[in-house]
Amino acid sequence: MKSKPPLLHDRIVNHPVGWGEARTPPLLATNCTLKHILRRLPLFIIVATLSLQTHANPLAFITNQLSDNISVIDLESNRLAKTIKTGKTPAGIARCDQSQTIIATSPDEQSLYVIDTQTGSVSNTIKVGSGPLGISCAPGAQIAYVADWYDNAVYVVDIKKAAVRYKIPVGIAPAGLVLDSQKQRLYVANRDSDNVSVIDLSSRQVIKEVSVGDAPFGITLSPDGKEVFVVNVRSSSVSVIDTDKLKLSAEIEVGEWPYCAVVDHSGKHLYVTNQEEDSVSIVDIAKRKEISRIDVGETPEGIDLSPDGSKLLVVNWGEGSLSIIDTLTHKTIYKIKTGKGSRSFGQFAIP
Amino acid sequence: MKRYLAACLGLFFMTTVFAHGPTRQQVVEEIVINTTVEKAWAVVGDFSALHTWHPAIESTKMHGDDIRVLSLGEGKEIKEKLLKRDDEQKMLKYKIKDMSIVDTVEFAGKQFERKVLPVNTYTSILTVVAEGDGSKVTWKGKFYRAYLLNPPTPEGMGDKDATDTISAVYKQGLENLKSLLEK
Repeated sequence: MKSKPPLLHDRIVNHPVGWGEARTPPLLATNCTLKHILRRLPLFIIVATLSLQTHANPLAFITNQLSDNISVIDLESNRLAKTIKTGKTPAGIARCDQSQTIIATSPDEQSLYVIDTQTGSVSNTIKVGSGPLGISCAPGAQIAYVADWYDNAVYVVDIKKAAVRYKIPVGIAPAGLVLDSQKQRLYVANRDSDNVSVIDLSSRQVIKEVSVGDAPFGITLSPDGKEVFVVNVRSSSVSVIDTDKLKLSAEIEVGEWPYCAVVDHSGKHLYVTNQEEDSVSIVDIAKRKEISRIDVGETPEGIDLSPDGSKLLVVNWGEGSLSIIDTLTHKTIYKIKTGKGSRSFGQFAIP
Repeated sequence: MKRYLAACLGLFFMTTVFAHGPTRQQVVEEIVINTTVEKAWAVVGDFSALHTWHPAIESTKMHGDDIRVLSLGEGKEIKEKLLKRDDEQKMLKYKIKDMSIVDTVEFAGKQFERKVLPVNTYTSILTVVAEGDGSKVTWKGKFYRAYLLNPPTPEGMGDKDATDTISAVYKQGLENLKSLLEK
């Protein structure tokens, strides 16, 4: 077969690694007779395959919207660590409860899938609205904020009680949302009303609507909380909102049909996925300008950083893969196979 | 001016043109053909020639180099725009700009227009690669279902209607392409 050259991920073996490894010492301890090993083996296997209790490595959770599961990628070994079966169409994602929990949204199942990162399995399913999509969690609280595409609202969900507590009306077809813990606000991108709703968390009221570009979808906050970046799908641009003045301060051109964005830890660069160009735009935030473009896989959507900020993680919907890019060199260092329709719309990497 | 027009038409077109369901669909069909990559690409890579190998297309009318209008008979038309043609990678990428309306369906007390293909925001990629001594032609589509509001969906406008139809269209085209090129 002389077809196309092997992709990077073809060289990566996919098998479970990483979890439960620290449980191995008891098995290898002294007076480790065959009898001992045999007696403990079944338990060890269960621990090794089911538990994430001792996972030492950072992980990325990739929602595969068309294969109804989540690929868990070990960001140290750069391998697929586990595939978690969920209900239908997991799409949006958020890290919650100090990364003890990952929550995925399913617009088709009208549910949230609560995933315990210790066990790597779905611990609960919570019914929410008509089309939950974007999600963000309150740090240190068991609260998730969920944008509902059809209900034109943000739902406030109590994770522990598995119940919707409040409904906050926003603009039309809300997609991405980001939490500002300093100012205690939520910024919600309304795709079909071309604006961002600013919600005050204590009063649960929209305090301002800021008009942005055409069809805002993904949204992210700078590390210092001073700026919000909103990705406009149809105008191929990013709108910048000053969070002190709550006013539009810039609009930056990026690639075609952009989707989502993330700011590096230094606050210098903004990375934007361009769906129709199979690329990521690198924007110099101070200069308000795109400075370079990185080729990634087909139809990139979700984007996040590894917890230490050294790797940029790009989820390629079109081909079902994760591109791992070095944030210093801006070169792709790994490409790992995931599932079908990989999306991970939100924050999906945990320490 | 553009903004003003958009605002005037906004309420009407908001749900009919801009919005889409939250779950984008994907269909991939491929076929191995006993012919050289060059010969396969000469046919597949010609944006104005779909009617020469797809049985459902009667004719293609070009508007400039990058817009084609496909006629399917009985007045049915699909207008498509070429996004990229890469002769080196042997890749053709295009999207649907417009389609004619076939009929309307009543659902939940409202009328909904059904178009030639039950899809929205549709882009497609055709590629040719070597496979053994022959060629592999891959046809991939990315789109949303026809019905733009929340489920349940009217007859013929759901996710499965969209994926089943596109899959059938691709298969029919690829099988005919194979028989033509292997003649």
